[in-house]
Amino acid sequence: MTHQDWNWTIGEVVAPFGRSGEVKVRMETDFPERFWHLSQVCLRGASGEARLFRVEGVRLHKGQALLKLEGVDSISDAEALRQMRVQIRRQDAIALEENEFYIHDLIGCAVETPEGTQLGLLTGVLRGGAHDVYVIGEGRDEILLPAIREVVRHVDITAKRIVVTPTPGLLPGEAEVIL
Amino acid sequence: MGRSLKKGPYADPKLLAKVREMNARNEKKAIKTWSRRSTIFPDFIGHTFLVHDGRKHIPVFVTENMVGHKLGEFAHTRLFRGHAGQQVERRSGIK
Repeated sequence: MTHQDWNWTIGEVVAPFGRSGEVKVRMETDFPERFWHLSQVCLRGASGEARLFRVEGVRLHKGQALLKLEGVDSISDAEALRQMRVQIRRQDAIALEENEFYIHDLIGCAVETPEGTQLGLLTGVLRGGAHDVYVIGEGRDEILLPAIREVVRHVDITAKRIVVTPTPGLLPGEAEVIL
Repeated sequence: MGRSLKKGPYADPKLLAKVREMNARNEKKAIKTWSRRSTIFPDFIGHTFLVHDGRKHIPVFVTENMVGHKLGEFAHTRLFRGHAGQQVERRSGIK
């Protein structure tokens, strides 16, 4: 079974936990609380094989989720699930607020100025600093733009298009250099 | 241990002078710097700094609540890009 529509990753099984078949899951979501409401998940291996499981129980342990899945009742059953991705259906993804987007949707968007100058395709998003940073292009031609309202004017996920007005100095070769 | 209060916060003198000069001219232009150790002064608010992370310069737009921190705190030197090709539930917001 491929379960094609179960492709939205929210975690990865890192190890069995305990003797009753629980699995320890590293959460790969910005909404860890969603684990409390899981009723069914798909576990997908590296080669693409997928299995649907009903979730019998969820608890947290040291920042990771412990899932008890139906039919997984021993360490050996749980061991077979190691390194499988925990996935749900895309339509079950948490609805985001205004001016928030899933990184997966942003990647591949064409970035352009209001005048229509194409800057390239968005290839990544750097997170963790003061604000997110959009990576446009790759290698030596890479452009980094801060994801702030002053710069990012419009995002159209459906049309895969982002309109930006870079502050002077943000494009390569324009900045004031202080050595 | 913190820096002596007698000395006051440190910022690279050239960087500080450049920001003050731009403020006097009411100019906003991204400033490329390697000085991660510079403290963010109130004069820096509203400016964008391209802070070196060891490989490239990360744009950092300075806001009020960043005053007193170092520029380097906002340009991480270690980067985890995630597992390629997966649709992971990670979001990005425009601030």
